[in-house]
Amino acid sequence: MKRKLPLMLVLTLGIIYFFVPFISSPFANEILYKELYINWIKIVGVFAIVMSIASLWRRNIVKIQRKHGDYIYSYIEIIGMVVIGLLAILPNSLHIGNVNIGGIGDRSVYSWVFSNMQVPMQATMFSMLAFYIASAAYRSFRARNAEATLLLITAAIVMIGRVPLGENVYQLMNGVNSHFISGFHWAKLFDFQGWTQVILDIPNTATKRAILFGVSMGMVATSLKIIFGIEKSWLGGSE
Amino acid sequence: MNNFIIWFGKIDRRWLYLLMAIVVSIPIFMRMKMKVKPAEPVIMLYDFIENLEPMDTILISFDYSPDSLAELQPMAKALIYHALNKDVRILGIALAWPSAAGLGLDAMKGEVHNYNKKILGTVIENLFENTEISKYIESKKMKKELFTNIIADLIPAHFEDNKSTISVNKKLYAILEKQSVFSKVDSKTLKLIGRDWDYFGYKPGYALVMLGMGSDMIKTLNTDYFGNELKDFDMFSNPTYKIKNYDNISVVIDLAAGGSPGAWMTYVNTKFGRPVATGVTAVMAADYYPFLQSKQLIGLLNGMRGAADYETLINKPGLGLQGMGSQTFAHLLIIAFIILGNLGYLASKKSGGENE
Repeated sequence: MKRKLPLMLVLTLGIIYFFVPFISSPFANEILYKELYINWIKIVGVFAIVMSIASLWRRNIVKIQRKHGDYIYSYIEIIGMVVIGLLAILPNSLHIGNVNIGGIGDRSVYSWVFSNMQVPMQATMFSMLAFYIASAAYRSFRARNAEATLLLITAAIVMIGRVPLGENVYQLMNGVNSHFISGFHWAKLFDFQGWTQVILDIPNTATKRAILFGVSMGMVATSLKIIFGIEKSWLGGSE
Repeated sequence: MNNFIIWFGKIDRRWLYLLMAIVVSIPIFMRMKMKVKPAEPVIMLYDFIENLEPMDTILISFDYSPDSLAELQPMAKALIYHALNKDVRILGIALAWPSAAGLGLDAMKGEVHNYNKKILGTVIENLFENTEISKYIESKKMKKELFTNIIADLIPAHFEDNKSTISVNKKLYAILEKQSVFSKVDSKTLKLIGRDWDYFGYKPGYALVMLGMGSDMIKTLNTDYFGNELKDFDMFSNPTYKIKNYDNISVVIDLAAGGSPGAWMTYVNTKFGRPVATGVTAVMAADYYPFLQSKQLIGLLNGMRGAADYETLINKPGLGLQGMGSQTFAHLLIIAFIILGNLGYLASKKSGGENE
């Protein structure tokens, strides 16, 4: 029963909600969709938040109890979670001078923590990507075979085409072209921005669309397998 | 010589990191200015907003967190600036990331503040000549810039009946009232919350909120970020030009660092038939070109370059254009290292050494 009930629910609701978008009746739109689906998703979402907080809390407490390696960071995580949560919940009216202790509005401690701690820390983490990408490009973009060489040349064109330098080179070449030679517009070869747009519009669009179709078909197949109980891994356990 | 070329393929990555830090930092500190030629997908969005009429409405969805702020925040600011100057009403929401709430607020409030400050320029200048106000500034040891910023918030707050902003500056507000400053301001020229713009902040539920807004915004959202009831606002209740659902929104612009543009296209473009545009980080942009071609997107801002393009079109240089110098030199450095790496690789292969 423990496994059969969820499977039956998935089968029934899966089939019903598969047809809902195709039915234009008030019952389907108002009751099945707006009343049931939207409200149930909200309820499930709230449970997911509660469970994730509980899980995070338990994980850090266990780490502290066992004095596991970098358990000091667990203290920081717990303190951060409690303090920020409390600050946001406290009423707006609670303030010292011009500083609001509670609430999430302007001049509140919450807002200060967000602007001066969360924003710079997250921005720093992401900015590291520039270094990793540079290093990865240097180590992996090697002309080992024809495909790798094609990838390398395409990447170089896009990199130049996406920055003002590409336009400057084209303008320079255009000037040289019109000054010395007329008739043959060879400077077009240096229109990196134009080539970049061609790469993005044609080969990129074609391949992305093919991948998208493949992924979508895969999603439909997986959904059908789940609805009809062929795929049961979402239930957990070994099956 | 051959060994030297082979060494190119084995340079310690820490040298690359150091050089990258240098080439990224120097143009920022030197405030290097570079001109860009806007790309077609950016021009498409610009033209769309440029052709909107006053009282039309755009909805901006802030679906990014602080880590992608460098690319997406300049886009947000440029779009808001453009809409404000076209007298187009703006709505803001954050659906994908709770931390986007603060970023959206910063972009919207910041641009509205700058707009109002510009409009109130003469009024504020005249205040400095008023004896009572001069005494107040002196007693508070307030700098001119701080005073200007407070006034640029306080005067609109009077017309918005924004009690929280007024209560923080009660004394100054009383002086302004005594000096009849508010009667000298034409409130129609200012951008006021609930009439010209509103911000909803983070609303959990993602696709459900998107769908709900399609039938009734007030029912779905109830209140804005500041706790105001939407039904009390002119922009949601005025019988002639109220915003009820997507039918009253000219375009939805999703500034995203994740998969949210797909959801906006699926639900808002496909289901409700409204135009959708997006601004995304450069690494994601390639994914959205198919939708541009199929007209499911009416415009696309691609990374920091997209922001720089838009800033060029509205003729307001900002962080996007400022970042172009760093981006140019970073790309050049990467290309240089790729060439060096390949030279080293080929030399190594020729000498029968490393054959990776």
